[in-house]
Amino acid sequence: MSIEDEAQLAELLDLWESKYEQGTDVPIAELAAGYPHLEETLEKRIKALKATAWLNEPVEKEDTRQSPEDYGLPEKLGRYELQCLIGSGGFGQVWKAFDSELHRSVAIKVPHPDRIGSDQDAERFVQEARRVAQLSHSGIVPVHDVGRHEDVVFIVSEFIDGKSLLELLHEGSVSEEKAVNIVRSVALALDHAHQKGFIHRDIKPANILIAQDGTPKIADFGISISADEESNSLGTLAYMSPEQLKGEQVDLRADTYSLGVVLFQLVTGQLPRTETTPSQLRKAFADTSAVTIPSSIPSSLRSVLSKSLHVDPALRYSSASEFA
Amino acid sequence: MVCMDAGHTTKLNDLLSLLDQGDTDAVRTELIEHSCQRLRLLAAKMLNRYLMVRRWEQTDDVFVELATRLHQTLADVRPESARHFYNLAGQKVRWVLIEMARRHYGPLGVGRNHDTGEQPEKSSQPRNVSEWVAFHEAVENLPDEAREVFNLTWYEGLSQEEIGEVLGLSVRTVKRRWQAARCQLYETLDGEPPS
Repeated sequence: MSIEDEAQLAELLDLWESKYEQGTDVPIAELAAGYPHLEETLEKRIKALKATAWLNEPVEKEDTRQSPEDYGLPEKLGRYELQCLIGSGGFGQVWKAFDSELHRSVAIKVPHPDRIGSDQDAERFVQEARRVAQLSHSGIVPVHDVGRHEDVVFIVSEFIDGKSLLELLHEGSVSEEKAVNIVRSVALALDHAHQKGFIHRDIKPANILIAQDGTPKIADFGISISADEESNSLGTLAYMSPEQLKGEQVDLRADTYSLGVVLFQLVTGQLPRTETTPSQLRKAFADTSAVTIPSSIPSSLRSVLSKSLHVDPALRYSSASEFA
Repeated sequence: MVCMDAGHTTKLNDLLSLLDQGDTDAVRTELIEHSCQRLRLLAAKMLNRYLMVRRWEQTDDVFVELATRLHQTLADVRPESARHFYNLAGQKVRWVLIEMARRHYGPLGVGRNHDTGEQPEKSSQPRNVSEWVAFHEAVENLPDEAREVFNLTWYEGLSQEEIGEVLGLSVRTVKRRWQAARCQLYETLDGEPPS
């Protein structure tokens, strides 16, 4: 093909694609009118451009999984009809479901099959859920039930008709005063759980639900299954305490650290540490034991943040109630 | 945070001027961050389609490991120019995606050949892991000019205006190279020469 023909072809393809992006598929005969010798090549290239048009789409619009079937789950887990996916994360998914006996909405957490690799794991999971079900506090999402359906183990808890703190953060609708009140409530609820011998291990904005009456409620107690080494590594990097990141044994001060991160994020709009990988974060913890707190933060809050976010657990608050 | 939105062009301008001033550390940090974010999106796109496999969330650990490696590799680079950096980063992102596919969804992986069966009839979008590996490898084998534009467009998520700026080309030329890259890729993957 001559250089002139290539240039003409490129012009025609530009024209075709700009129209195609606007929703008009200009017929090849019309496009190639006046250039009959280019028609065949034009047709082949347009076919290739159409087949690869998906490469022009934004990559973000991809996850289309919505139904239980997409996740290999049945439509019903026992008496619970799975309705829609309301969240998914490292541990599994959370579904909104309908309790067909009590006629009410519930939230059902289904862990990944790999997290429950054996009958022993499943039994441990059920036992832990039973223990969590004994937690009764207005600031903790109550567990209603635990069940097994074929090889799927699940926890049923109250459905909170509200938003997560993460959503509120994204909306930018949390004032400093509101942030302090939310964190104080969460600290008191955490203190209750700690006194009962529970450590959450994954306190983060997505796990703090705000009910319609404004009450913050901690979700996802019980993901830890038990205080074994593996469960220590659970959690979300940005909110993970230094000791948890190192895989060391954690205690309630890991939760108060995570809550400190949440408070920091709520009042500054940023995370206290910007590192995005475990190794960077470990290095940052080793290099600097104290976080830099913006000077715009009132001194009373600065001291709370500074203490709760200390790398050394011994220098943090000794209890969530002290934090509160 | 750098991301592929209208603000990125401004950000890119800032980065390029920083580079002109010799402040390569700041540029590198921003560009690495950008590449890691793009990697996360592409990894999600590549793996989320294997619906029954239900392993995307579990790939987080693998992702973190590979992203860390990407980060380290890029951190060792002294970028001579934005072009140099983006080319290298695009290539590394592609390699990480290939490795991720092979390690978790390769010949023995649970995701192999899991076809979602929901592709539009004429689309060449990969439908399973082995097709994704073939896709990334086909990009690897594109001629230099086409691969460079493909890297910046798809693996780095830059707009055609931004690519024009990075490569010193007109948007029109970028657009044509992108079209040529897609046609060549289609030829390789579907075996039908666009002539």
